[in-house]
Amino acid sequence: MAVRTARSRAGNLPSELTSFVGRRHELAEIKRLLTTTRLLTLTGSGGAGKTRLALRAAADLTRSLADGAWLVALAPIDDPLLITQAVFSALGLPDVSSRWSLSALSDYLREKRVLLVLDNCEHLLDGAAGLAGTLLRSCPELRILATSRQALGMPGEVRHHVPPLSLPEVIGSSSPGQIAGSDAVALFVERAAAVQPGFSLDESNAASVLQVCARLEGMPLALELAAVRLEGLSVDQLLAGLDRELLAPGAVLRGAEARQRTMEATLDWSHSLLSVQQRRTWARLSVFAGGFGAEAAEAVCSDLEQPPGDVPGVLAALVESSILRRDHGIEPPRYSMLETVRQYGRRRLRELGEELDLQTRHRDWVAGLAQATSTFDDTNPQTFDAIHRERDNLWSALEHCNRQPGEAAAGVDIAASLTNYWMARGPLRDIRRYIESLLPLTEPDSQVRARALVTAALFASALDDAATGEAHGLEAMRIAGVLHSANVACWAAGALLLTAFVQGKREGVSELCRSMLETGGETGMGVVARHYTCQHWLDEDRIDEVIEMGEAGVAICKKVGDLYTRGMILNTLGEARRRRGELPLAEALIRDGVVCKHALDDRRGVATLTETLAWVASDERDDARAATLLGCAQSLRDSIAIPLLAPYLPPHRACEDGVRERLGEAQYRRAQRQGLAMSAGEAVDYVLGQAEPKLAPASATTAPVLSRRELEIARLVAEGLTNREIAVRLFISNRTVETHVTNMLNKLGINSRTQLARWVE
Amino acid sequence: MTALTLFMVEQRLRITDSELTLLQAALVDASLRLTARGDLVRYLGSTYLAGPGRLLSRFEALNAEGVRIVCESSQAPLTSLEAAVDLPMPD
Repeated sequence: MAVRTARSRAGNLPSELTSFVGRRHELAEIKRLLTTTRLLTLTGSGGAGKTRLALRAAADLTRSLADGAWLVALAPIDDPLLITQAVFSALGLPDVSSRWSLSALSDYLREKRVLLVLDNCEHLLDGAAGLAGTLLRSCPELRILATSRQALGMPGEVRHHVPPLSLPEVIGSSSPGQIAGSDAVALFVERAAAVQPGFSLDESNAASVLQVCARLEGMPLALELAAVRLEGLSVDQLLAGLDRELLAPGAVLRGAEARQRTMEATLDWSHSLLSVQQRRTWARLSVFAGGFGAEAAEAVCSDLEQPPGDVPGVLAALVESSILRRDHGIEPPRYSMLETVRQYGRRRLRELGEELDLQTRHRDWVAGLAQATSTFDDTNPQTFDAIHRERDNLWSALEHCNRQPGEAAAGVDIAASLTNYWMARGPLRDIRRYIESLLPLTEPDSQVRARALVTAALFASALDDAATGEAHGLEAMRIAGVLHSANVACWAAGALLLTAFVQGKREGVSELCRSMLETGGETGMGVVARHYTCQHWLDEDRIDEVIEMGEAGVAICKKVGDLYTRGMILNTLGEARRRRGELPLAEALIRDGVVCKHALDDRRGVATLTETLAWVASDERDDARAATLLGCAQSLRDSIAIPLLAPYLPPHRACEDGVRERLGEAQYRRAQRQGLAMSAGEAVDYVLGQAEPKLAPASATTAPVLSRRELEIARLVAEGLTNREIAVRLFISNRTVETHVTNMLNKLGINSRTQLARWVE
Repeated sequence: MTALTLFMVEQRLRITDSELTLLQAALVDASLRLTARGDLVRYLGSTYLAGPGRLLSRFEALNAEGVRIVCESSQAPLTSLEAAVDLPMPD
């Protein structure tokens, strides 16, 4: 089994596929504005180049941002309640907390110096404004750069209109020397040279190039779509084609309206130059949200008239025409469309009368992925990653099932098939809300309803709402009785067992375990039954039976390839061995569990196992390591905003008290702080014995805690920088630096910068 | 002048005191934002039931849709949104 490499990232900005042309003044202005404002919105027409400009500005600023710049693409999202999830996802964080999502996110970002690029906000203005307002209020170092056709409409928001690219100041002139300096001409010529090697601006084509740029009003997307046509057309032919589209009778428009019309007409014209098959594929591909791979395109967009074998060629042609973008950084390659291009395709899909049919095919493709993820085999990590890459498509299909009459069963099937995936990577609140929203759409006393109830029960219990979980589980069990279905009863028992575990209840648990074991056999449900049975017997101190049952469970997990449950059983087995005093064996089992959970990027699971490993280290009297592991486990839980579950609290406290007593308070805190300071990846490396903790400064044992930002500023003070110099270096205001310095002096009980510098040294 | 309707919203949340302050600020901001563009929504206040984790908020608005937008912009889903009747203490 491959071990996932722990790594930390400082940003997720995509690499640029083509050169960035012009915009020097706008770029400088945006970067300047971001030093004085915390919310900057780039507004402008679709196709004006807002996203490209924002990404370039963010990339230029990355070096001054300790925690990076992160792109949050909102175009694939329709539901405003999924915006927070989009940010979590962009940051690479699982969202499995039961807390208010925005608060969990603001806790994560509170001390980070981050730039969030919220791209394509126009269809989610209120949700984006709500998120921005709350985050900016609680995260003093956060800056937001939004792109939208309209401003968010918030107090304190600075708006910067992104105009089309500049045209030559003297439109009448067609001298290459005079027009080459304009951004619009420069972009057109550069893109033309990419499709027609050797193309350059000269006396023979300058007048036509100028007219093309003027006709297209300097709109970057329109210029790019037009320039790629030079592969088969001369500039004059291109101009003639554009004139036919753009000079439609009565089309006398000005300003933004004119630019929108220009963009539409350019897209119409690009569309008209494609083959029937390419046009149809463009329309059909618009059903994807957030990109797709070639296999997905074949599955969703092909039919008798367009066999799957034709799709790769059509995709290549659409890339050549700049309708599609191919991301070269990913294997297998992924394709996507700019939002303006995708929306155009969606309109065409409606005109073809194929929208519902394509949505159904898209849903079937997502259901297939979900089914693959729920199938237990040794590809768990890959299938988890595959569905994670397609999460925009996943949510788009789920929303379709919720909106479209008669599709609720399909929605339940997709959501329920992915239960382990949601448990590991979230977003738990959103998927719980989703599955509960389907409940009224299901047939009473049906198997579909029971499955929805069981899934909702599991998520409710995982979100610390065991009362609702129990109610859902009991209703599912009642339906199992109505249907006389042992399988449904088995699912319901699983839901009720999780509820009982979270609540610390023992009543009725033995019976539920027994019935689940009988029905589950050696299937995935049987493995889950063994896991709950082990947990129950551990509560009853039936250690020998736990070990026997747990080892059988792990063997079946290995046979069927279930890493998720295997990690959980290994935790229980490790704890059983610990209680028996077999500490090296306990440690080996727990580390195996960490490898399983880490392979799935299941941070909740890794946190639980790390906690148990701390108890083992404490029993071994390796107290410093135990304290560091307690810190690691806390850090892992904090990173996903989840508490330690109630059943784990008594052994946690016993471990903490014992280690603290033996080490003494100062040494305990120092060792624990080493764990707390680790990132999730560092914590996993440490747990697996692949890294030693970094030594904390000696003063850390007694010094009052300074925040990461305060320490950063303290070091710069020690280097002799003034507040103003620190403000420039750290990309924050002078006043913020003053506030941090004052706070540090207060915390440390000192009263001068010199003393602060000495403290750092 | 168009009459405003009283609405009661329930949101299911486990939330601390400081988070309540943050959430309340988000609701106030969103109400003001909608009102500024002509979709009158007035946030009147909330009551939090810590035991079951239920937040009950009162709004006056022209329609339920405005209230829904305000609540959803706080990224906290609604459990219910209903027109309500206020029963002040009789004189």
